[in-house]
Amino acid sequence: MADEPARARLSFGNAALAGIVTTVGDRQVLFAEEGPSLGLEPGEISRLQRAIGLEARQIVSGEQTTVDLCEASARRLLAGLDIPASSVSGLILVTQTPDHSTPASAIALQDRLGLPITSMAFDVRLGCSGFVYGLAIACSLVEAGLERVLVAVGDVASRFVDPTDHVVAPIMGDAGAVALVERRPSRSWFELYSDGSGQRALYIPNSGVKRVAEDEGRPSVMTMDGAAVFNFTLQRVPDLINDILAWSGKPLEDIDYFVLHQPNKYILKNIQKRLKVPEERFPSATQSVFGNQNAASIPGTISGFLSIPYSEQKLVSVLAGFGIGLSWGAAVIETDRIYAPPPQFGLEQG
Amino acid sequence: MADIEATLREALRRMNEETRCEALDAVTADSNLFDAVDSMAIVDLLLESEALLEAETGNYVALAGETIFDAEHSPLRRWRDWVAYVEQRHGR
Repeated sequence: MADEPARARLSFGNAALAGIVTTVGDRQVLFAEEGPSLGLEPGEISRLQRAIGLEARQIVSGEQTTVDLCEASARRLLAGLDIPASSVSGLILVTQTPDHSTPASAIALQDRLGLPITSMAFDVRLGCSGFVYGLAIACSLVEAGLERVLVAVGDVASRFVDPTDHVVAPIMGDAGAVALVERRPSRSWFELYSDGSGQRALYIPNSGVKRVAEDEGRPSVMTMDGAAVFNFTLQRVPDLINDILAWSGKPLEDIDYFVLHQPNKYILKNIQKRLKVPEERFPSATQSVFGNQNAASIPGTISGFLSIPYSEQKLVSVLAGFGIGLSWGAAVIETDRIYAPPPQFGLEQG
Repeated sequence: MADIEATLREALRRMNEETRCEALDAVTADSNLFDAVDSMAIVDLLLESEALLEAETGNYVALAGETIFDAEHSPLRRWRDWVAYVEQRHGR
């Protein structure tokens, strides 16, 4: 019998999600208004609106960064939970758009939040799978002994696209979300996956030290092979969700919400129908309202559309992130009336 | 029972009202949709086809699969393959 490949499966019983706060860019861009500047005809604009749900996105103003957005979310989260920064012993920042390529932006965020120097802080360089990965790492750290860990996920992707690229530019939104994981009984299950053979499906050429001949002269902006990403998603995500349900032992009927990364309405509808999950348990509007929030899209969807049920009810959720890498992962998590206010628009608290 | 090919032709006609690809005005059994239009038009075609078939059959069947955008194996590379693919998805 052939050996089964090693699998990145994790489960936890003593790490609980206590709250989620999301800050989105303060500037709203309407697709119908920006379409002509991208060289799109009115017919093409309406076609894209209908096909993949492009309506609006929220992006940052001026020079605001990932750390700025995450700092705003973290401050609001800690205040809302009435938790002092001095009690947090870990900070993970998941981003593809750090403030500097080095040092890690998590350490700048640690300083700005006033987390003690006896805490650990580090970056994780992942995109749309990043919240699931960050949560898994945070749960691991909590079960290994830390009391409280912040998971910050964010990107200012609008600043890393060619503004004239009608494929990528109108998709991207900016957001920074922060979740708190703390030590108390709560069950969760995770499955994580990686496939570097698809690394060029979504990437920024000439953005590191490696030089590739075919990228010579190309600008350092996000490049997407839409067809490859589409195929990857439909090939991997339905199985990903069925596998995490099997691993957790939870039947599909027991899941209150399926909160997936939000690439576009069509892909999400396709997955929802394949899984035979009712629409009301499968949010899909985030892309249309806020844009693609990359690593922040899962907490961004909870903040944007599920604030009331997550604040008021005990829930079992499937979370699934998938994209650049290629990297994907899913979790089944239990939550019990977490702190989950609606998103904040911009850095100033209203 | 719904005539799937007729429904797919209507979906193609609706999609092409906005795409305006002349090569798709008169589709033959060997017409190549995959190379004729861009990926957004293909998503549009999938949406139109799914919606029309759902209206006629009462069942939503997702038509996008991992081969749809596969440059070598997409059923959209030949009209007759596309019709067969959709019929198979609808259990015909």
